[in-house]
Amino acid sequence: MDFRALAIDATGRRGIALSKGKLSLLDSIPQDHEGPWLLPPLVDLGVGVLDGRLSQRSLRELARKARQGGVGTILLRPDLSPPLNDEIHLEFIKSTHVQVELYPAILATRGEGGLSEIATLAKLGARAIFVESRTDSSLLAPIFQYAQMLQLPLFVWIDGSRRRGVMNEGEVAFQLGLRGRSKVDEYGEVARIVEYGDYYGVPVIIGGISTARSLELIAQSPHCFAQLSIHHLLKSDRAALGYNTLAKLDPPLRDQEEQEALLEALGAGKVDLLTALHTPASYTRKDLSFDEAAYGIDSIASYLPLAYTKLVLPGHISMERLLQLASATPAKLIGLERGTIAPEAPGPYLLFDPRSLHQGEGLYRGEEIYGTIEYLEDWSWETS
Amino acid sequence: MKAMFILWLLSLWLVGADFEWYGYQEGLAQAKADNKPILLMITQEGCSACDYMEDVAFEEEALVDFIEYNFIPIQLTIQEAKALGYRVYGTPTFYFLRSDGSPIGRGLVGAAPAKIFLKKLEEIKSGL
Repeated sequence: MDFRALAIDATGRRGIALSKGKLSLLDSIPQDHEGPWLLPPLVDLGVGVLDGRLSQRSLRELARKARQGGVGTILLRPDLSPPLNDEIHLEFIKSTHVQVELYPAILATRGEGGLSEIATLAKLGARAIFVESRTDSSLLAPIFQYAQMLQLPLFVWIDGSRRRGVMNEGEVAFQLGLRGRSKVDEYGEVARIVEYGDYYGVPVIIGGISTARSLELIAQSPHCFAQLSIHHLLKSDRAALGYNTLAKLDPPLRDQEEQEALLEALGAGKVDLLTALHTPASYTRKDLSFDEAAYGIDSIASYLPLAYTKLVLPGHISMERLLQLASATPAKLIGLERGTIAPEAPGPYLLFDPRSLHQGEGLYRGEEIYGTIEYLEDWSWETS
Repeated sequence: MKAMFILWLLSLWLVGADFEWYGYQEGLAQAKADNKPILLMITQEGCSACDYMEDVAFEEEALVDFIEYNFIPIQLTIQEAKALGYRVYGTPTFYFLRSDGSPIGRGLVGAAPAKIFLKKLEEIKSGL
């Protein structure tokens, strides 16, 4: 397959040619280019597996879907069953070979309220330390100290009172008669973690946020990075009308005004990295009353097409910016160099056809989604 | 007398030898063009250890010369580093990158005397 294509990465656009299996950069960008684009794969941090159950099968299924959605590198979230907080399960992840790069984060705490063997697990290849924001201060302080000493980033999941509410506190929750989760609970948790991050001078990836106020708090910190899911940019709590459990997410989808504020914050550069928030739950755990249904969304298989269709096409961000937020920055945060297309950069690369149209699934059922993905196989860089 | 004054001025210029810090994109392009590794320094305002590196360590001729001939120096503020996804564990944080921008080992956090910093740079250079 020989072609001339447009290569887009986090640093810009350039022309690229493939001839007899050799890839070479062109001096100019092909004019009126209508073919597929050559892109670096996405990198997603904090990805879950089906029902949170760790097994070879669930990892293989995750990898298959990730590849389908243009994701080449995954940082697995460790709050699984069994949890990733010991050597055995870390070795299990490392020894499982799948179609994408799979890295573990480790759970900083153990069930009985103590700390995991963080230093030992870090030596075994953990790429980040994961902790929930409501962790007691007596544990949180040493966790930050470990992160500083080991030079590992912390991944803090904001636990905005999941136990009390099942969706956003607001008009829709009132209409549905469901318990709501207040935004202020989230702000409080974010502010606490930002203070810890700045005090210890440790890079903190803050996930599980759903409000523009949280983004604002994080933007003021030089050490904290805001991770936002694409669904919170694209949907509001109205998606839950009719008790649609596909819209039961953690953190909850907020009201329309908040969704618009998040999009504005994205345009203003207050989001540091994006995620597909892939936390799939099986049909039997989703097809229940809204109160009882599991949180989560099965979304990684459509991550790149969805982000392109809903964020790039309407002009909220450029394709280059998307690749910075969904590839280059998340990779750098876990100590990898991805998100660029250059002779020195490791592949694989993907071919993205932005004109190809298909129907969305799950939360996006009935919506038109652009973009299909193929991977560039059997190639090498032209050496001069 | 005039010649002596010129000599004195020249000696001041030599003692105060310095290198130019590059911006990020400009530095990456220069590193690629010169095939040199990158010394990336992340600083912030009010950081006394950064001031020490700038005002004391980076005034030592041997260190300055080594950087000038062997590295492309890039300086970023902590906010600029955040926008690019660099992890900062205090300032200054130093990263050493290959000419393609990929990292060489772990970053260094904190200030170091010129001699020690030079030794580190020599190790990095010889390991490439």
